[in-house]
Amino acid sequence: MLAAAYTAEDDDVLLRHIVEKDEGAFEELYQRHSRPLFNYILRLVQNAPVAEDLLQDVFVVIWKDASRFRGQASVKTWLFRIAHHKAVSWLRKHREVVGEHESIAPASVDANPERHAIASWEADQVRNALDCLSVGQRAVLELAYYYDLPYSDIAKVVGCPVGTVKSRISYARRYLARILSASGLQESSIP
Amino acid sequence: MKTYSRSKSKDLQALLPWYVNGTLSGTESQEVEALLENDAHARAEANAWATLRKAVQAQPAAPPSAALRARVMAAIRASENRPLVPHWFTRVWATILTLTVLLFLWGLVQPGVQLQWSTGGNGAAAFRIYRAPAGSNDFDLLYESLNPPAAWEYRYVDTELWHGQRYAYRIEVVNVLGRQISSDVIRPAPLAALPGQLAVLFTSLCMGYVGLTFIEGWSGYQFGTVRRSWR
Repeated sequence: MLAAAYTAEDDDVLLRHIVEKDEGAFEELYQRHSRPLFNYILRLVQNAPVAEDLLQDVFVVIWKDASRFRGQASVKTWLFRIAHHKAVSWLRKHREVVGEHESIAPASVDANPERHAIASWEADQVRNALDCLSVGQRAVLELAYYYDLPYSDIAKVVGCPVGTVKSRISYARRYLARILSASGLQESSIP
Repeated sequence: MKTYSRSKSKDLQALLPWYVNGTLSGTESQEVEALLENDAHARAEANAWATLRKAVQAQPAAPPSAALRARVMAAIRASENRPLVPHWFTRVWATILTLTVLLFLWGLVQPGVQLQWSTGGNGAAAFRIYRAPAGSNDFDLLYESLNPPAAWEYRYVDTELWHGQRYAYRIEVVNVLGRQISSDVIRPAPLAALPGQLAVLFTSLCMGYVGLTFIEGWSGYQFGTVRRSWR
């Protein structure tokens, strides 16, 4: 069936059709979730071609393993879990995973804000600071604040206890504040 | 006015990030709201979390390339295609190939015990080769050649060997005058034939494996492979 026939269906229904190898349902699921999954993977691996290849792997897994979805979490959580696993596996093979408190300088610390509009500069500093977080901290922060997942779902996505999720987001915020204060930004003045 | 113990207050403050993103349960939300009513520090923390959430949400987001959709569809279709040739057929084919190569090489190389003898260029009317189990004098005729072609050296390979059994041999030559001359008993070294037999077997298995890989690769090649932009 064509993807257009599935626009009103829930993700659970789409997955049931995908189990029966319905390409239209699969295309609709791709249409809905490819962009958020792509950006999630991209923010973890920080390489667009790699993120695209990993996203391709994610959707091939969805196609092959749709029957394994048991409904214990939402479809969105299940998709993010696959994406997270793919990204972390790639990072383990291709670069050292940054430790929770490894101190890494921001990608660019421009001490001369006259060269940029101040708001744009501050936004750059925030983005650079986010890129300095460890994979674990970045994942929790993105899932909580970009994708608005509850902490229980985040724990399922990243495969760790709820307590670890709560502490990682606290560490992430503290670490960001440290990096931003080195750039002259206070937490309260983040745009 | 509700007050909380220090540990309870700490637990509730740990929920602030999820109060800010609106995903707490009803009960949790009510408890956090009660905390915020009475705790200025908690309110300041909630504001800080809200500021951080705004900053995270302000990140630019890009769609994947348009070509990726086509690649994904091609990849899932490729994963669904059945091999052109069934698996059982490739295995039967590889087994037949292995046996054919084995028989061919066995006949060509003739791994076994090699016997060589010479008549000094005088020719012979017949040769007879006798064989007995090692340690026995019970020699049986193994091979006979009548009117063999004239040659300086003659050779015979005994390939009818039983695993673990050693043999002794005797060669009898009948010259053109009808006189019979027997050789001494020949006792080949243990496992003399084994290296040759193993080499033939190993070569046959390798050829069978190569054939299997070839035909399985050929049947899979028909449906393409997923393109990788990095490796």
